[in-house]
Amino acid sequence: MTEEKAIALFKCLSDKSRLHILKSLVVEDMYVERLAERLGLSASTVSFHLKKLAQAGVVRSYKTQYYTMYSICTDVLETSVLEIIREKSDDKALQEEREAKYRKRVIDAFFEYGKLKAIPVQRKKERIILEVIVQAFEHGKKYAEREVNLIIADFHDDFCTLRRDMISEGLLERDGNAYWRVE
Amino acid sequence: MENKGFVFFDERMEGCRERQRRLQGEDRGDEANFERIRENVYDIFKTVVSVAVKKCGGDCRKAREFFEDRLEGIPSKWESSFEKAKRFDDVEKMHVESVKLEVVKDVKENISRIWGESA
Repeated sequence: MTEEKAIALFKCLSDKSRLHILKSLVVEDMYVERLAERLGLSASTVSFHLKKLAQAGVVRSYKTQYYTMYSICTDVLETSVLEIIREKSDDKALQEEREAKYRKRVIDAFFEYGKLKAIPVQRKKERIILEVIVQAFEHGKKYAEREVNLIIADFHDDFCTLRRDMISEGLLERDGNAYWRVE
Repeated sequence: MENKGFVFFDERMEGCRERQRRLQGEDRGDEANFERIRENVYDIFKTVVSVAVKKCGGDCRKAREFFEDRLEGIPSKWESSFEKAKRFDDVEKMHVESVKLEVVKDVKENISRIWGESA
């Protein structure tokens, strides 16, 4: 387990309601309403906590005929604290993790449900959002300018600025009227 | 009229603060945060009452209309945000928006109390 993951796990577990949810799930798998009744919490509060627990990797869900059931991921919880402490932290991996975290923060801040809320002013941040948008283009395929505009417009109305910036950032290339994704 | 409305909001906000303190003491940080959100929404509508009263002078009917108008308008963004979150199965956002909308429901149910029996 990486340091970041360990911290996220400990943060997630340092909440009494979430611990009580886990205490219930350790006895048997349960659905949201049953947990809510048992713990005296609202169903939406329980759903909120279950989402956090799932993000930390300690709970998983599966569908049955009528309900979405939740169960404990024993493999993660069986890891001892000593094992986590003893794990060596690799500088390169740590750096990559920091980068990935920063990237995620920028994407979360600028995208909402797949739509770009605003074009970042900072070049580094704009580069990240352009790298997300360019994934909508297939490798090795040539696109007409109109097609490029339509694809970008799915993310943001200002497709002209974004199209130009994707060229200047070297993410797209153009030749006459054809555009393609840089390999 | 103004005092009765403020009493309602002050009571509700104090209730939120009390639960917030209790939840924090029990290490239920996220739920304490939801109480803070609840308190903030009550505070928004308390401010709307004072603006309504100031803007409409002594005209109680006009002030109440002003308030009811904002009571419909302000939460519309929260409602659409809740629906959007539901479409994308964003449980965290859904819960935050539902906490705000629960406050709106409570305010609507107590509108007579806020504006006094004669309003």
